[in-house]
Amino acid sequence: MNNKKWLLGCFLCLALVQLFVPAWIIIQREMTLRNGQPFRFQTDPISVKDIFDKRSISLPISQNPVPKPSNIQLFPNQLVYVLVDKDDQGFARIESLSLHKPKGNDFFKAEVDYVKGRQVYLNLPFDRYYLEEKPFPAVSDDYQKNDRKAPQEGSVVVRIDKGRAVLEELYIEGKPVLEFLENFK
Amino acid sequence: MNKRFVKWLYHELSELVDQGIVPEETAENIRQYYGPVQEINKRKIALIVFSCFGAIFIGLGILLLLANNWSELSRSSRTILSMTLLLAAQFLTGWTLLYKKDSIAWRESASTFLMLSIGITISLICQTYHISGNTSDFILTWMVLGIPVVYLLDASLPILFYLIGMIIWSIEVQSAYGHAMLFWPLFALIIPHFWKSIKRDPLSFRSVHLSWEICLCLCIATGIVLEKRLPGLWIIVYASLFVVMFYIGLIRFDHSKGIRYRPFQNVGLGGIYVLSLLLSYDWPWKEIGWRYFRSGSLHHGTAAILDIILAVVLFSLVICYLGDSARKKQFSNLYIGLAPVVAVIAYLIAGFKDTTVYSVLLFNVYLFVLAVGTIKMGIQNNRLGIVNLGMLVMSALIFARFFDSSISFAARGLIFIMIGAGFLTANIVLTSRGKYGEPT
Repeated sequence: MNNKKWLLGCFLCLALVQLFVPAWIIIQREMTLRNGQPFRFQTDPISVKDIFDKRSISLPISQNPVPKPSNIQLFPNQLVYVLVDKDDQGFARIESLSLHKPKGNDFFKAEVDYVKGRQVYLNLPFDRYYLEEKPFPAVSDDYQKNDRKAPQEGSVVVRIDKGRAVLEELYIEGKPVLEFLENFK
Repeated sequence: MNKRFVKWLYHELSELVDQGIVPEETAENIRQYYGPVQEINKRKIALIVFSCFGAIFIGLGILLLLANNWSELSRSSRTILSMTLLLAAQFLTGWTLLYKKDSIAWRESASTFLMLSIGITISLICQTYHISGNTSDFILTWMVLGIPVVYLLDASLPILFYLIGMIIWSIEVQSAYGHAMLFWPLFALIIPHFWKSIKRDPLSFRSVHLSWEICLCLCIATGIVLEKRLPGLWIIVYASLFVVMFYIGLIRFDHSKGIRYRPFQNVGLGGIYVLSLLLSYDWPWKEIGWRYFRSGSLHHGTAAILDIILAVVLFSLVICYLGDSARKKQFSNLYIGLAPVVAVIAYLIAGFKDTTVYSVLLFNVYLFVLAVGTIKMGIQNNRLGIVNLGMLVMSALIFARFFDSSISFAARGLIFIMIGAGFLTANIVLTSRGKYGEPT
């Protein structure tokens, strides 16, 4: 009986840890979405075909790669702090990279993917957008006949708070992606 | 002895006792010596297998149902549903622990369902919040959260998912310029469960399938985990690993049982044959050794040291095996254990001299001796399967060299004639001794 109680106690501890991990992911993201500053990052043109055909699309953030700072040595998988600012048009701009936690709140953590010459390619925490499977099949069929196959202008709104960046919405031609897809005819 | 032979013997004994050829007392002594024939409870295994598949299908089915209506759900609904799935799996596992602890089918299926639910929940949440984080972190979190279930429920099927997960994790980490040193301590987490299982019964269904999983996982993962800073070190590591597997099989598992009960011997032996055949070509010996030592930020120093430690530890175990075989005068096992020694010599030659010829020649000779030795062992023990294995290895070597365009026609012709003459001479010598009977 004692053995059973002990096992059950261990299982309850394990269950709490198992619940804590996804719960912590949720809490962190929700807090960032609630309290974070919005930054709009421009992307390279996004293929509409990818949006219809794939369950997740890779977002080609225009600010990636960033110029390599001359005073620091960077390696793949290295954690860096990315300082951001806004340009005249209101779009986010990566100011610099740092190995030390900067002051203020306009920064987020990212990993170095690789360094090529004077450019640093980053694994940004908001470079992927997940879509539902075949969200708009009727539109998708229509798209096959449509000649608007050219890649579309895109941007993402990212909330940044305490070094964490969370993707809030993907915009295609200035509209949220789902709204864009609904009206795509 | 093989279960089929014991059954046959017991059947024959009854008849021999009836005919008065063997006294009942002797028959009883024979029965006591071999013990009862343990029939595998096929119904029980089928129940466990179906339960496990049931858990897997239910888990995946729930995922598909969620995906079907996913777009219509708000972010909070998606989050709650994802967490509910994990809670349901935990509830089922807790219930099993309380009320169905004696049922293997319940334990295996509940633990498998929980293992899958952890991964599904985390991936659904990552999808909801568009988290692009790397796959390796996701898999590592999933596996570390899931593995304690194996011990709490005394279940083995989650280990299969765990090992597959760890292999994928290693691939992900290595392909992202990281290192997979953590694989070894994570792999060690399953050893107590495996040890307990083989201590209980090394020939049980659980022990056997765990052994197969571990052997195959090690074959795949070792090559991935190696940092490969010292080119060609994999040759020594793999040769030693296969011999160590063979050794473990010999000392821990009853080798008088059927093939499927001997995963360590089979994988170890098969590995030695395949590796030796690969090493009989010249491509593995090109640009290896310390002169081609890889440096730079993409290679990790500590991981490279671990490669060398792994090679040294495995090779030391091989030396133990060779010493043990020599002490027990099991000379037929000696030439199997010589593979890493030959590999080290060939590696040193290829490292010192910038030529592959000697290393290739050494492994061709070794494989030839191995094949002949296997055939000889098969003939001595009157085991046709082993003779056929030796013949197969010999045929593979002949086939490989016959079509080896890097050797001239004349050289190949001379070598083949010499080997053929050698075989005929051996046949004449054996026949003249009369030990193996007249040739047919």
